[in-house]
Amino acid sequence: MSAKEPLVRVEHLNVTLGGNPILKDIDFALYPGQIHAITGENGAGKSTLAKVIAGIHQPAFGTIYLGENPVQIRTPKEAIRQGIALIHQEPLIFPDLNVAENVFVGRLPKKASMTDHREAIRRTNEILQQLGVDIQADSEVGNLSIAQQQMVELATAMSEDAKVWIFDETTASLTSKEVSELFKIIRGLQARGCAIAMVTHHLNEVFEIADTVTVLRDGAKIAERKITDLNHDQLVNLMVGRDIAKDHLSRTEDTPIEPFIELKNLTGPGFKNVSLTIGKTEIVGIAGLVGAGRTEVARSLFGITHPTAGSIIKNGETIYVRSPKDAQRQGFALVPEDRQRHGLFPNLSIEYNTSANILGASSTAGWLNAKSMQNKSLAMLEVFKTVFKNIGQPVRQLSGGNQQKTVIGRWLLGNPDFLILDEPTRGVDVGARREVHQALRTQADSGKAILVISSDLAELLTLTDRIYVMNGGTIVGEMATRDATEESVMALAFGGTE
Amino acid sequence: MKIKRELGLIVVLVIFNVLCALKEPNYISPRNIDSILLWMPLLLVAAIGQFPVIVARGIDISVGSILGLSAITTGVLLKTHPNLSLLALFVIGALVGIILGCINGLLIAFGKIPAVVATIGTLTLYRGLTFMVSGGDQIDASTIPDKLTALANSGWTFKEVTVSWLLIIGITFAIIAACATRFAQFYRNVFAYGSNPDAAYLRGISPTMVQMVCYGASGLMGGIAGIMFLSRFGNASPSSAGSGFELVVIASVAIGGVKITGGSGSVLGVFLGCLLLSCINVALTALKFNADWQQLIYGITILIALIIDSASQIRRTRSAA
Repeated sequence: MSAKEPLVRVEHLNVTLGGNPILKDIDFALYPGQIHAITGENGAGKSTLAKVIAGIHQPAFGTIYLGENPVQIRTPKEAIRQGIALIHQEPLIFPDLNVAENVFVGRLPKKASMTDHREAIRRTNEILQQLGVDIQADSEVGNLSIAQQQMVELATAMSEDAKVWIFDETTASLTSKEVSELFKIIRGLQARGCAIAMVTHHLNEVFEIADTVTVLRDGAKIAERKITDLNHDQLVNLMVGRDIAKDHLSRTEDTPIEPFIELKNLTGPGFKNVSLTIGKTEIVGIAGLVGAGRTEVARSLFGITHPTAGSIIKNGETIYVRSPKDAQRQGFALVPEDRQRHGLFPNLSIEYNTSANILGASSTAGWLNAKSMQNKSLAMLEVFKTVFKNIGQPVRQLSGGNQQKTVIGRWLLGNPDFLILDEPTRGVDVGARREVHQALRTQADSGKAILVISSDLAELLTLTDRIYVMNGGTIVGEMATRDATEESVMALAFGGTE
Repeated sequence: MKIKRELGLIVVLVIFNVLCALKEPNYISPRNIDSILLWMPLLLVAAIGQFPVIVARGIDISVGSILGLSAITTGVLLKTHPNLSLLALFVIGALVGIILGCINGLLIAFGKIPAVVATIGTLTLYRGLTFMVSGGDQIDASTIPDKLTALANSGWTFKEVTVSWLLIIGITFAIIAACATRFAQFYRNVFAYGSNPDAAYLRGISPTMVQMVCYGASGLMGGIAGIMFLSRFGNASPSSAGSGFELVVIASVAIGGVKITGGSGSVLGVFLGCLLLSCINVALTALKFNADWQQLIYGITILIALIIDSASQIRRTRSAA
């Protein structure tokens, strides 16, 4: 396993997406017979690195070598032809086609220039047997489980005779039994001399299967270590170890907090047995990895999905939130994660975007009171120090930070008692972020309860009073923010075994 | 799962015809069967063109105008060249169709215009062109050669029922298309693309290629249907030839069980969908329904078919979850 030539190597790789640098000067190599884990926090650039090697993204600068030769991998098809397979987190399958057609999509075996389905099925069954999975080659893929669909992807790569296998968070949607089956297959590939990269943020998996680990942070390579040279804590330190100025925006009052919103063993789509409390004047954070079930809890609280068990209690009374409209009647507000898709009306004016939720409140007998609406909007924009030319300009012309201020301001205009924010400052620059944080703290001080979901630990440590940590759909820890450190939160979020 | 739809359609066809026969004993007469068989071929040919378009998550609304422009262009050429051979007529119609279809393809594949909008635009544009080409004049019966109308009036006759040459042409196309859906790599790519466009792209299937060929083929079949229109009706007017036809075509594909969201369907289903609409059309006349009812009944049939699809889709997602 040593002193061999790498199958794939990248040098000085730089990637820019939408004007933002995502990867900075990365050197990385995959050797035959070696399992190389790529790990890091959310947004560290792990998946981007995988996608560059698989031809989905193009580097702005830097070289990819296959063996000795520098190559350009312009399309996914070229990567496949070079023997590079990328296994995606969400299986990339054709639900309406059968397994054999999925495996041989675009290149079915032919007899007399007509596609030969019998041959496709025979060869697929052969590969499936080799993989040791029990799937019929003629079953429709849409009817298979996620794990089985993943096996179909593996079979596809196998049929393409892939030498380099990149698994991008492949285990995220699998059960632990399915994961161990997948690992068995990966070890089989390793034994056959394939080079394997595993993008993962599950540290247990890194220690279980990898030979080498590369740690990325904010798009830069922080370290590459043999797995035997590391322990769990050292790896967590490598992943998060940035210095943050700890300027904590703590509660100004020191009155004891009465619980205002309580969740008791709330279970629903994507989360189970979630219990937490939030008091008035308090800002509570939920930390965790993407897919830990945080957004799902928020969606259930806001009536978008419905819990199957447990209860939501407001002011000591159990309530049922049947729809977003119902949630607003209860005095709830949700600032969604993806502001482009769920939050903004990009082509409408700033005024409309700010006042969209109070149209009912600022109208008389169905007619809008334009003057009062405008005044309220302007006041709210002022609270957030939003920068704009005039209130009639389309909101899409604003910067990300100012757009986000508009969205949050809109919900605050409805004067909610309970505000939920999902990733409130994603893609927002440092200055605007500070202003958003301060405005939120002012709102909390005025008596609102605020729940902040964030993948950005620095944000949670700055803004919140208490932090809950979620992992695998449930709450795994709670701590007062003043006692929390990035390391302690991350250790819980990654499901660390001490 | 997939066979069920075709079986269901056959059951519906049988029940429908039995009910009609019970209501009106003369319904199953050679005359009515002739009408059904004569009503079908144009629809079938155009629907076979529409089929891959819808499988690839698109739609071609312009097909009625493509039919019209093909019929009118060929008719105008016949005025000056009355001796064109049958084959030449079909080639001209096909060429007109391919060109128009490829314009649709360019707008959608390269212009990135949503298919509904692009083909509504060309529906109007091509209709406008029929007036330019014809100068507003009808193509009347004297222009259409007898050998062309003979395709509709003669064929294989068993007892008193005639299977016209037009229907034989239509069924030949259907058989070719049925084989192609199964045995042509390109057709399988269309299904893969319709089933998951992103995955298809990542597996090296070119979306522009799929769209160009699908809309080109739909145009081709619409052009051929234009010649069949001349044959069957013996005349054509620039305003009415093929007008409203697109909706019947799309309806028959939808009724035939082709998923409107793409990725699945069969030529047999499309065939049965065309047959059902033909039966309904003839039955309305035979049962002396007012012609005004026709649209209403079409609409109901289409909605029932789509409700069945979405119900089975919902069941499927539930059982998967």
